Amino acid sequence: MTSARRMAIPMVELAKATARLPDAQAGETFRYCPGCGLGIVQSALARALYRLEIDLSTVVTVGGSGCYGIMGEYFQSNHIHGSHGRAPAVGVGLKLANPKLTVITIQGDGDALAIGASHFIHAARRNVDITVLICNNFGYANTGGQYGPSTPLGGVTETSPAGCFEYPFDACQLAIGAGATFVARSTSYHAIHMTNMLERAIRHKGFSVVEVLQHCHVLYGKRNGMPEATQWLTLFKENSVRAGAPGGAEARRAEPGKWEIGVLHQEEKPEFVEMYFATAAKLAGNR
Amino acid sequence: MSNKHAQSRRVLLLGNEACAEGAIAAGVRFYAGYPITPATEIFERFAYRLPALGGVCVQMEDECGSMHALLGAAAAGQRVATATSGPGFNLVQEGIASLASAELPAVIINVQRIGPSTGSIHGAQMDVMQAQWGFNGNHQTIALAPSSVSECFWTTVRAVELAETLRMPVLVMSEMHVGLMRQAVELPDYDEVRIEGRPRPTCAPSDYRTYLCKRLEDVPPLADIGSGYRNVFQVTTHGSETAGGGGMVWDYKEADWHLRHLAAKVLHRRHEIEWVEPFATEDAEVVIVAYGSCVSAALAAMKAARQDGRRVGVLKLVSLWPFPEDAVRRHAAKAELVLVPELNLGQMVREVERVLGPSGIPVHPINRVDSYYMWPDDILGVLNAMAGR
Ligand SMILES: Cc1ncc(C[n+]2csc(CCOP(=O)(O)OP(=O)(O)O)c2C)c(N)n1
Ligand code: SF4
Ligand SMILES: [Mg+2]
Repeated sequence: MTSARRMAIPMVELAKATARLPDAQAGETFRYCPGCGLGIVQSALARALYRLEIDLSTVVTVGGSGCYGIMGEYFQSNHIHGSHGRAPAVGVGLKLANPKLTVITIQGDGDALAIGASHFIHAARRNVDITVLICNNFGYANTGGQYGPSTPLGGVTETSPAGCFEYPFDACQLAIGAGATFVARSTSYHAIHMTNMLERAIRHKGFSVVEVLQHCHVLYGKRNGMPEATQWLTLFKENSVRAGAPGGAEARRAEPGKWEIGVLHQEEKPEFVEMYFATAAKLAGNR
Repeated sequence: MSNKHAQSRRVLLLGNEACAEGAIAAGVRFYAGYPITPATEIFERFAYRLPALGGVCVQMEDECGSMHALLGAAAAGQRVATATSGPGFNLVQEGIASLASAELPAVIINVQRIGPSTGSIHGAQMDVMQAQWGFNGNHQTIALAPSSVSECFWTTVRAVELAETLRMPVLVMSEMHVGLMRQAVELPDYDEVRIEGRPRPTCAPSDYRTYLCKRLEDVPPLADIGSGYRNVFQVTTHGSETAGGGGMVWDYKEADWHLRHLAAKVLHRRHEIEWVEPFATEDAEVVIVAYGSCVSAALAAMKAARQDGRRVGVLKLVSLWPFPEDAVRRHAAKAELVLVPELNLGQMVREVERVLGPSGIPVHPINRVDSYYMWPDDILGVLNAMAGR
């Protein structure tokens, strides 16, 4: 499968092969806060693309409104900086128009689970061959730190100053229920694991989701007693339970404050674009 | 746009079906939609026609989804269209804004019905201002309004051409009264319908930028995603050079370029876009400025008035946006009175007033909002009252 060389590529080489980095001399900088989990997500995605050895001119990332919206611009592949939450619908259009494209939507928890929830679940239902990467930082960061559909009960934000009183969505369970055929979770601590999940998701034929629990120490963290990125990395390290791991993983993941990482669901099912063209051929034959 | 009728055929069609046929003749092979009366026949026609042509017709979860599927397909190189009405026209606004800002072509057909909100499914011309001002930000839209089944075909053909050549969403503002009208029309041989496509890059892929152009009014060449040219499409405010080149520095000059460019590329071509048809305006003392379903009433009123010895003319507007102001000025130059019949409480009349205001020519609106057609007597009644008869 993956050659050792492609696993071990140094960051500088990786950047040369996949990235379009900000031009420091022109005053350009990365738009993430220092220490943000998004940097780890970006390098994991770069590594996954590099390992897959895909021609980057056939790769499209689609981003919405949120701190991750710019991420696709840092790659040599194509990018559509679209509006808030609509990326899966854009993906449906891209894939139907050119099934050879590799489409990766880069979304947030607010983007995919609130304003764009309908596009997300319907794209999952269709089993369209796109990969949805959800950067879940437990709320709305780009607008200054408000609660959202993945904010844990009690989470303090600018719009839930006394603690969030709404039940959160579990993005992975939502995706599985909606018909996604590859669903995985990782965290910004698990950089190599995240790379593996992304690689498998992109390789998967059908609708794939990778939810990354991504720290936003600057906003959600500061409001909830965890203002350091390292505190989050420790939290993710200590509370993640490997899916399917032996030794009572079942019981451990039921513990409060624990979550499962790894592939949570995978199945083979005919894919949307192929089904469309197979059905269209029938109609064409009849006339 | 060539209009040679090499193997034309005469067929009986609904206005809605003619819109779909016009789009297909102009090369549209991708439709995404959501059902709504009275636009559904357009969707159904595509669903039956496109698969057989190797194209795509797909039903999305809502109009917002349709528009963004169009955005993706347009970026991948397809000629794309959707159709909707009333409440759906509200929901497509976000997508139209995205296509406008990202400079991607699409045709949106609005078969207007009564609003606000769900309103009713009956005929109206109540969204003509929304066509220009329905979404946020500064921009110049293009909207064409058919008044017959044949015009449903040809306005849609032209809308596809304008969308492709100017890299932007273009609106066909139909109406229930036009969309559900059945008329015999002469359809051309589709192979003879040749329209200009999107401008293509001639540079090497390494020199290509998604929005690179010299002058404000230029249309930047557009490569398809997947063609080897790297694209960065942005619904966000962007500049010409920096965008698509890893341009991550936002500055005020870029905002200024982006907004002036979106307006300039349309307004620079306003005379090519202008589409009007005058009827006996040369000697007219009264000019009726009409569009869409009101045109036939205006022509009937003109005929009756002429028989009565009164010099009445009609200026039919097919292009509504950019407002064909020079044509209105020209054809109303000698008029003593201008009448503007509309199936709303006075929308395009504001533009006519704006344009004719300095000349002092009185402009009088005639309005119906009870779901019926404009009637020749509605116009003649006002004409008689104004003429003191
Ligand atoms: C239609 C619309 N509504 C609201 C906004 C404002 N907005 C920008 S980013 C954002 C929050 C995004 O949250 P999420 O997707 O979780 O991304 P994060 O910033 O947390 O990374 C919102 C509400 C918008 N851009 N568009
Ligand atoms: S606000 Fe939070 S999520 Fe956004 S860039 Fe900063 S740390 Fe990252
Ligand atoms: Mg978020």
